[in-house]
Amino acid sequence: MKKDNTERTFESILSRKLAEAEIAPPDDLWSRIEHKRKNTRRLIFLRVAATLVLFLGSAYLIHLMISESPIETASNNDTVIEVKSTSLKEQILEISESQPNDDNGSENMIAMAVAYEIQPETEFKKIDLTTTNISSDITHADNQSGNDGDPEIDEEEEQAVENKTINTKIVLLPDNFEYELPKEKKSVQKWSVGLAYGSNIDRGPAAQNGPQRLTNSSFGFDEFQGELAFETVYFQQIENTSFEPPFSIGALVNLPITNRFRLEAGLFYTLLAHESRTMVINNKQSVFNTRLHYLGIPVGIQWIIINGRVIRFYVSQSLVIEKGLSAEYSADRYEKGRFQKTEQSREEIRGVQLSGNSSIGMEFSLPQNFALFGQAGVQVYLMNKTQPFNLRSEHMIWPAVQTGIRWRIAN
Amino acid sequence: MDEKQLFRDCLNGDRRAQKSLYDRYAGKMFAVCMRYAKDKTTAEDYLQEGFIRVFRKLNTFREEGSFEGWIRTIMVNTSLEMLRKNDLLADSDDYMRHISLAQPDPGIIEQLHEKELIALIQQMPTGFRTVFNLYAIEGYNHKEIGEKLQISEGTSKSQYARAKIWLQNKLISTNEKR
Repeated sequence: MKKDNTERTFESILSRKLAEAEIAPPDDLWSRIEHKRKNTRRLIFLRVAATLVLFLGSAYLIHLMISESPIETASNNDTVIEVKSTSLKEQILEISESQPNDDNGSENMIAMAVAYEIQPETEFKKIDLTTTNISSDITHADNQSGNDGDPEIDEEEEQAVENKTINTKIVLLPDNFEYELPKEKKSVQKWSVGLAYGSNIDRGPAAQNGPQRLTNSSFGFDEFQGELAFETVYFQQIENTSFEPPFSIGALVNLPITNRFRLEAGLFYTLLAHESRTMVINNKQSVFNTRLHYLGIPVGIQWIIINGRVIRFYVSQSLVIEKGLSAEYSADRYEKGRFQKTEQSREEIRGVQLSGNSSIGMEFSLPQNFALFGQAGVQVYLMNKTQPFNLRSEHMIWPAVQTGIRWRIAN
Repeated sequence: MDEKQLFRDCLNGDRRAQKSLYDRYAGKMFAVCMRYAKDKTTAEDYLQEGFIRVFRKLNTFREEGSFEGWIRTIMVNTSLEMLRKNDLLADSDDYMRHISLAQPDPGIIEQLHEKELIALIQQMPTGFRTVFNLYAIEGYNHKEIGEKLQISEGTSKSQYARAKIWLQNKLISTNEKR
């Protein structure tokens, strides 16, 4: 390390005297270190356990999402029947669909099912199904051809079926199968875009205002914070710090994954502002203003718990990554209560701010595919030490609200 | 046991080796922490946290440099970090009264015992004390100190100049009492 000047008599004497100095620490310090290390290991174990719970919870959610999806995907001409068994000893059902009735434009389908048994000397069953009555037309016929599992079908009937069939599906069903009417076609899912406003609800004044507000907070030092620390004798001269409510505004895109789950992502601008006022010393006072500009990307998942025609309730879990655009600082100088001058500076904000948001929300449908929404929950801010002092530096956990409008635009 | 063997045993989780490491360096490191802390209790906190970090970061030590120097760096950095978080100055105005044009007399420093010198440094306002330790004892230059403390080089210089004057005044008054 290069020194600033060569005349180092004073420093060299000090360095020599102090570099090798030894002072015996208290006898119990080693046991305190061991005790704290054990606690730290326990904390690590708890974190791992919490991560595991989170992972299993996420896996369960994914399982729920997958089980939400129908086994067969409906297309315009298909009928979907859930497969309940795959045993080859069970019946095979062939389902045919007729064309939609073009005359009256109805979307009702007539399903025709023919059931076969694959046992030797099988009894042939033909079941003519309609959407209203499965057992209305059942006929039995002996398998005379000797071809196992290759039933004879009345030629006229077969022709009729062939003419009407668009798609044919083979599904396996249990012996005690009761025909269920074909499910309604999957409802059309729409994705939406939206605008939203968000904020944190003030948790009230800090227990101790003044220097404690800064010294008990978790934040990173940029040049301004460093200068402020020295100018105010490590914040001791700060009398009061007051925050403006955080202001967030941005755009959202909401994509349905299944009937119950939606993915939401967005782009948000956030402004964090506060003012620190020094005590009056020798008739002089300074007011330091901070304005931090952030751009954030929230990515989250929503689970719709009540899906009404007009009102829909959901819970959401999202992760937000924010990058500081710039930090604007100003110092207003006062003497004997009179404003003297302002000193301004602007700095880069290094690092990123991560947070997780858990909320419950409500969406209220409006005409023209619009919907109003509001959600409230808790936001946990992580990696605060990488960021300049702001509201989030004081506490990690803040109540969070968001409101806005969504517009469902397309399939 | 030599330094390298001690390090390897500690790395393997040998509890007795860890205790030996503590016994070997605790005295020197406590003296380092005492210089950065405002009092003995705070210095104990720094030392405790410093050793926890030493054991946690053992696997990051490359056996090329001095093990003691590596531990010392961790102690200094831990002290600086904890200073930022917790420390407050007891008297914000007091140091201003000590500003004078006097320069420290190396002769007086020679006469003082190490513990007396550390006790004097502990009385410095936090800003002075931190810059003073980093520059005069650890050997960092003002640019490096500025980067370490997130302050300008000029601030580091002015803090150091004030700290020297503060110390000179203290040394004079201590000498007069003798």
